[in-house]
Amino acid sequence: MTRHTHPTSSGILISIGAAFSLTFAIIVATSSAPLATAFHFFAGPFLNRYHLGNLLDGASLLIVTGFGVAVAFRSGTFNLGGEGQTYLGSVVAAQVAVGMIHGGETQGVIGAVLALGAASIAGGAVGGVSGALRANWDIDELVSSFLLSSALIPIIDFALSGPLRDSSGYLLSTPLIPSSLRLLRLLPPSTLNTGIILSISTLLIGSWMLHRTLPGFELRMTGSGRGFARYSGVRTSRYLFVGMLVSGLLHGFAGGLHVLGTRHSAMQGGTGGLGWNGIAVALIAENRPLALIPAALVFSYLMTATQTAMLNSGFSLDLSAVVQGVVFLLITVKRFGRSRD
Amino acid sequence: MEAGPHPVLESAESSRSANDDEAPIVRMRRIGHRFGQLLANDAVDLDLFPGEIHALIGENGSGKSTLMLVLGGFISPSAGGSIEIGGTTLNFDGPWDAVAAGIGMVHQNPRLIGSFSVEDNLRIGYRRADPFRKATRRMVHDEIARVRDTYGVSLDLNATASRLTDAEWGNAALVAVLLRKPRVLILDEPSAVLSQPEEMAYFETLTRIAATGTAIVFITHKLREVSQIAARISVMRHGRIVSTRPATQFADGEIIEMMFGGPARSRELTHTAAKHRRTALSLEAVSHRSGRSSGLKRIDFTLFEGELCVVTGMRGAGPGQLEALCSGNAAPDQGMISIGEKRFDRLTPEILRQEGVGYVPGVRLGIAVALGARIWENVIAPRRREYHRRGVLAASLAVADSSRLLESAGVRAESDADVSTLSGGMLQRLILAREIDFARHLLIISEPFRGLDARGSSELLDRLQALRDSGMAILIFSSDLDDVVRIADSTTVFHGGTQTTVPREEVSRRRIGELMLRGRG
Repeated sequence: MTRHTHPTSSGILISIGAAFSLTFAIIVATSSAPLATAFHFFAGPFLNRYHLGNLLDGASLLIVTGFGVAVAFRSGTFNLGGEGQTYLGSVVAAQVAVGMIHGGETQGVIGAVLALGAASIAGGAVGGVSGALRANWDIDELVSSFLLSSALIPIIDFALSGPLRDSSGYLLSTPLIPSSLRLLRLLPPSTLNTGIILSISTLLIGSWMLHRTLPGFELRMTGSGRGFARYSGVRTSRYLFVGMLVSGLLHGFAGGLHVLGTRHSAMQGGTGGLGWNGIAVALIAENRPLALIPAALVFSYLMTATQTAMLNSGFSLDLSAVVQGVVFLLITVKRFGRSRD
Repeated sequence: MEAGPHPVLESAESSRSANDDEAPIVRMRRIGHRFGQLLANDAVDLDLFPGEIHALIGENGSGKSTLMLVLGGFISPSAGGSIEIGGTTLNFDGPWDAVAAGIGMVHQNPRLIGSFSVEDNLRIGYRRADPFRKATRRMVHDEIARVRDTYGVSLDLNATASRLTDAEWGNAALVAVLLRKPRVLILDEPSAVLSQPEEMAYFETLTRIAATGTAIVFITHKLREVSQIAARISVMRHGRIVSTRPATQFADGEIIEMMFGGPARSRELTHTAAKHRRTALSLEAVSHRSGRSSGLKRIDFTLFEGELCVVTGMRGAGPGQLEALCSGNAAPDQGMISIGEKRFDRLTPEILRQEGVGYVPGVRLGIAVALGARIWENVIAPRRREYHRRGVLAASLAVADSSRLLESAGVRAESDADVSTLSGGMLQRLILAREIDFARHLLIISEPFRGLDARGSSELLDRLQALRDSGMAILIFSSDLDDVVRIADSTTVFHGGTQTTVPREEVSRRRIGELMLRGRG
């Protein structure tokens, strides 16, 4: 008897392996100094504290957005609005934090908790709208979350280039948040910060709630068989809402972490990619919470590697986008391959 | 009517004898087919003559549809047999071979593309039927219109398929088959959804088709229409044709006797006088309308504790809707439903679980189990609150209790395994055991013996008897008359949305069968 094997685990390794090989092939084919480029690509992220720290910081944010995507998946919904929810979370966190300067009240821990809490609520509100639409009127949450997010992004872009912009600087961003609210940097000059502790704790607590509490059980049953969950007496529409709500909360939280830990301000396009890449990470991890940690590390490594290759050799920005696209494609191929078995 | 060019058939035609009016166009011999353990067709012989309308009648599961699916090339008979068309023995590898041999079949639920117009739907079938001849749009349109008008089928070719009534939908499927100029036309319960005037028009069309020399065979449950239109009747029972005769040679009531009469197949539940008279479930003046079927009309129904009632009836006559109402999957238009002392406007699965009602739905997969989850999760789902103390899962308790249930149900598996690793039979046992264990005063089971082997059925029968004797109210929905006869304390038979309840002393296959086909009268 086969005991809860995951037949696609080898599939993940194959798709990650294929992604690396293909990346290598692209480097060799396009670079004037292929060996040097390959070296910087594969080894670059580990050569200095800066890149290693950035890799870990990137992974810490992807763990949170990836978990957000996974929670939605586990409830049987699909949150395609992670980009907008994360972006909104970053702006709300920055506004709350900056507002504290004017309020004259820059209590460190309380301020950080308030800013992160506000960011989460903002993201959760957006996700929750899609969840409520789905639960009450059966409006496809995949479409509504995507559309809501697509509408939010240009509005936030505008806000950051106008009303919320720091007029004293040249960047399209809010003013820097007060230093008392910033999360402690762990590996300067990289952006790695104590946010990684928050992100992993969130994942562990969330995973425990998913697998060991009654609402978690009901949410998972709704996701693994809605007909069965309903038949067992679970109010399934509630969990369609809860899944999207929690997914939005986590995305907003990631946006907050990005501001308080990584950037110290909300920038135009600053959180770009966190939502989409969260989907990729969740797919690699097959929505299993603990598998999100290695999945986020691998993904963040790839992102950092293209960056180090770009900085140190003739690897172009366009090519790094190609490599990321290839990775995404191969992971998605695996995802759709599964539906046949 | 000319069949399309087909080499085998042409040679067959040339070899026909002079008195070919007497020769059957279809000669099925010793057709046998098994579905797992069930012998659905047992050495069946059937002849069809050009221009005749032939009714095939029998209770649910008697093998009518299987026989017609064999003739239509959809099933290759696993237990042998031969089919001769126009004097030539043919082997059908699939429905396309049957179509090429001039056999057309209108299925019980025909498929059309809902967003296409009727004409575009028919066009698809037309091109498929004759891929080598080039046909212009105009020619195809004219041909479709001609076929429609020749046989007097009422059908708007420009209508969007999804907007058609059930009758028009059936007509479109009929025209699609007629376009291929079949020599044999198979209709699977064509009139189940027709109103009286629609049915008359439909019969008129069938008469015209038969007049061109096409043999028509139709499956039906309705005795009245059999006598109205069929020239010959074949009665099926337990996979065999028990009689084929001209319609006029059946005496009144003889068909019912053939379909349902005689002894039941196996042992019966012993009956004891009910001691408990507390109401477990009651419906008061409940009405419910639904799309295709006749709807329930002011139903009153009461089930007492310690009583085992079987609800039966032909498809669409009401039992399915009663099941939907009792299982919380549909809301009544009017009336109240009570479980024990509590009255509800409607039931929901949530209410059923709160009130401790066990329910095994007819369709088990996807409803009664979540294939993506572990076995223990499937086992505890209805009682999940008991396994979460202050909201936190007592995992080892859940796994241990699940293992105990698996063992008592004879399911050989570990509770930590994925449910998808269980075989079909093991799943049935798991579901039945879980719901029996869950039920406090009321247990609802649809098609209880589905998927169980002889031993499993026998064990379940013992279990149900013990439960009933201990005071459980058991409501069973079954379309199998043998089930009804051997287990019911009382039987409720639906016909056209109203019910008749037959007490145990009066239950016989014949009595129940008559009620299913004719209702009260």
